[in-house]
Amino acid sequence: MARTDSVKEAEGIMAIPGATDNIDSATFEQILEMDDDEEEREFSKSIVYDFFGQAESTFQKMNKELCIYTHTQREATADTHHSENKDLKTLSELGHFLKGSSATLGLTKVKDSCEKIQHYGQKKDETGTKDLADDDEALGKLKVTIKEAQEEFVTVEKVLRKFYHDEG
Amino acid sequence: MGDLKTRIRSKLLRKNSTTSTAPAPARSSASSAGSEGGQRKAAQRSGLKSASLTKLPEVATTRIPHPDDALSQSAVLPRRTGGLFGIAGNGTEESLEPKSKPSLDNTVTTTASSPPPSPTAVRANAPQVTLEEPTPIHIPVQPPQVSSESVVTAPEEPPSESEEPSELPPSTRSTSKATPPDLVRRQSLVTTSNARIIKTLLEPPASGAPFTTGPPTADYFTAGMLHRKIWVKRANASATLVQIREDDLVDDVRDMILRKYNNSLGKTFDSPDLTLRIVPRVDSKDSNSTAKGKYGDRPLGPEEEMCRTLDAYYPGGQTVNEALLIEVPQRRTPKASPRVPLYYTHHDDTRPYDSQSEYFPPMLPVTNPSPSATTVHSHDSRQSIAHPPTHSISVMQTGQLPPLPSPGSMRRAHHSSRPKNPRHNTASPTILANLPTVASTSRPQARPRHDSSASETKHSIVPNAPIPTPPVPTDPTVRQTSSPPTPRIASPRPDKKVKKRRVIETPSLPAGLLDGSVPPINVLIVEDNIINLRVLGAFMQRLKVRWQRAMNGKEAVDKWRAGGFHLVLMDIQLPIMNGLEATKEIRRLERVNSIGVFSSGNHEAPNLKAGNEIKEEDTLTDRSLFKSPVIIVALTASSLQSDRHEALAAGCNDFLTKPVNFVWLERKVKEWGCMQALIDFDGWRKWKDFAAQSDTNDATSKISTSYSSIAPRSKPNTNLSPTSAANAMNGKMGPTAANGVTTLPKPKDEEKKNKRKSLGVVAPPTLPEEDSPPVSTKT
Repeated sequence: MARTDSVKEAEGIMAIPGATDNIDSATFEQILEMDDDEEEREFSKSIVYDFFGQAESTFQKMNKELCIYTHTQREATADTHHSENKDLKTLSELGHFLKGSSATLGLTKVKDSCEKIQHYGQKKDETGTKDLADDDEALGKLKVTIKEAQEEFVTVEKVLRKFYHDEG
Repeated sequence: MGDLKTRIRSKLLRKNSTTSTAPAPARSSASSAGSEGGQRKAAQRSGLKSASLTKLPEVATTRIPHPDDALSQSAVLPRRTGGLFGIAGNGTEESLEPKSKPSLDNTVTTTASSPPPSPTAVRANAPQVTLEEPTPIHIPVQPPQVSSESVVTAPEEPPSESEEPSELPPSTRSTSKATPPDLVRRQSLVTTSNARIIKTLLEPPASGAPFTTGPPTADYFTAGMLHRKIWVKRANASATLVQIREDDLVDDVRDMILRKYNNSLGKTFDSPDLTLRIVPRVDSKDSNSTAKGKYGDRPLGPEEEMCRTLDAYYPGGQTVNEALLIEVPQRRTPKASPRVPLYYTHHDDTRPYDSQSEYFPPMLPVTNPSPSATTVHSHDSRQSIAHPPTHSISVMQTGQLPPLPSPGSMRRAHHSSRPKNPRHNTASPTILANLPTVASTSRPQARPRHDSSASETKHSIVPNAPIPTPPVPTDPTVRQTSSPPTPRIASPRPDKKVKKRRVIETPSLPAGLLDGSVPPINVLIVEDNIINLRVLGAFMQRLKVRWQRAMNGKEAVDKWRAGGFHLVLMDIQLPIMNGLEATKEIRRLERVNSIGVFSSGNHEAPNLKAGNEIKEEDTLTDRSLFKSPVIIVALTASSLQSDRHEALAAGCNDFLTKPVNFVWLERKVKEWGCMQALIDFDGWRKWKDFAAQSDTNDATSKISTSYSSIAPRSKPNTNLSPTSAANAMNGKMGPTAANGVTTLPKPKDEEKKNKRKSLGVVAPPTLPEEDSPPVSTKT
């Protein structure tokens, strides 16, 4: 039940291909509504671009963690178990972290993937209710999901850049 | 005695003639009210004067028992005399309005009948004479009685004369003159009866019955003034009179009806919504059977002329039983959640009290806290913080978890059904105002002849009463009613919502609009994600709420310890110390420092051993900055119920689901902020003054920014809460001695500060931040 002017405001971005799947218009529009100037969109733009930076760095860290983890796993055996868990935990925290900001912006797909990352990092299934069998299963799912999340991020980033007339 | 009788009679006659022609100069101030009214009326239709005279004896007879009371119960005298005057004043009206007479007699006899009649006729007569003798002013009033009585007990009057002065000292009489409110009211009524707008006439004061409640067919009304009264009623309710003009259309009548049913209909319906149904007379079969066929039981069209239609239907005048039926359309608004059926039905009536009462009613409890509350706080430090967690406790106890307060994840689906008005069914104790107002809803129907404004004040006072109780943690029922979770969440305000939201979220928000609605609270936003922090902070800015940030739980606790926060928006999953731990720590510190709901700074720890046991590091520096336990609203990314339980159990008062919906956020800020403002009323008032000043000085939206930059420094100030703007101004002078005592290091890191400033955030004195979010939060 979007309000009329919300619809109007959201139309701008929702009209862009790929936006409807990736962005929750109601959430994103409440960010837009905080813009003082609808042309400049100074506030929301800075928020969104900050998010770009944050997401990129977070994905970097995730990948780094993944690398470390797979690397250590390949080399070491049971005695590294503790540190492995810690790495998974780090991934979970990273997932949670990015989940927060993507949720705030209404980037639903990224958020959902991040939530999965968070759960997998805790060695739970994607809804966080059941335990996963072992670290390997979690790791496998994490790899897939992080990749998905990155792709989703790239998609939504394009949409957002388009919205802010920044095709670069 | 015979000549006394005649004397009195002649006086009586004189009295009536004077009243009909000119103001009675001899009247005392007490009687003038009534007599003036009567006199004006009489002047209006002097032709009827003679009729009134013939009626007089009758009236007087009914009063015979009356004097007994005056003597036997001197305390009652003022009222009695008031009644007397009133009757005397009305005496001339009796014949004009025969229908109202019974009620008049009623009042007299009922008041008079309660005490047993005095055995001695001597005493019985005394008051009459006394009133007459010492103050001749009363003569015009008294004669009717005396004349009637003198027939029976005339010989006994002289002794009573001698007796009276001792019985009725002048003082009592003067009070009796001054007091009768009836007279005053009647006067105002009568003077206006002629030309006043209809509405005033529609609400006749209780005592004014004789004049205004006269049957609608009263000649002088219809003939003289083109006004007319018609009977209307709602289904299954008692009828009421509505005054209309001769040429009014049904449409106009609907307006009048809405005014009359101001509460029950006026707040929900517009006049075009109403339908008036006319039911033809059934009695005279033959002649009206045709008429019945002609005009059936039907709704009236808005264009019909009311009076003409009525005349057609009810030749000879409409009676009470023929009142027009007021029909209203079915409620269009969605039904309330079954949880709070009561509130829904009456919510229209409660709203004004919410807004009217604003901050003021709660002053009572603040200035006058119930002893039980304070003692409980001082002796049981655990309970002293019981109030805010009350919600969680009540949730646990009732086993009834509030519906998710923040629709968050299911936002789209629930968008339309989301509760509307935050202040309606909320935590605020004012919700108890519902109870009295429930009664008031039925008022329009069975309304006694009361002055409506009087009854309204009565109702508006009532809400004050329950307020002192909520903080007392010992009364489970009170806690139930005052604890917010369940009713708050369910509050259905569909009609209001869209408008509200628009107002809040429109970028071009009028500057002053939010001033009144968002209390001047100090918010601590605990968020590790800079994006979320900025968004929340910007929204706070928009609400003109001062805020600070903390990036992890530890920082949150430290900032809280500096004092002055009313509300904490606490992210749960945080680095270093998560939100739950931070919440627990804050609650623990509140406990050991005995920060209760009404613990003002001076309420120090003259209490028990706990005071001695407070460790150095746990001691809060400036107790005046902790007026009450801080409200902690958890921001949970998870929509799992278990997480909510956990948050409540940790001591959070409330929770919001991320992504935070701004409507909900604003609601929470208002809701809890208002509660805190109630507790810290002084601070609020000072802020209010300051805000008013700076509004005139600086109309831009910079105000909140300036607050936020000032506020942190103002904290060290003693006595005043940091909410106080006066304090904020003082704060410009820099930290005071109080700050020196703090265990917290002063801000050294200017760079950090500037950086924050650029973000629109200003850092208060804090511990140096730990850098440990798993991800760098800086972009």
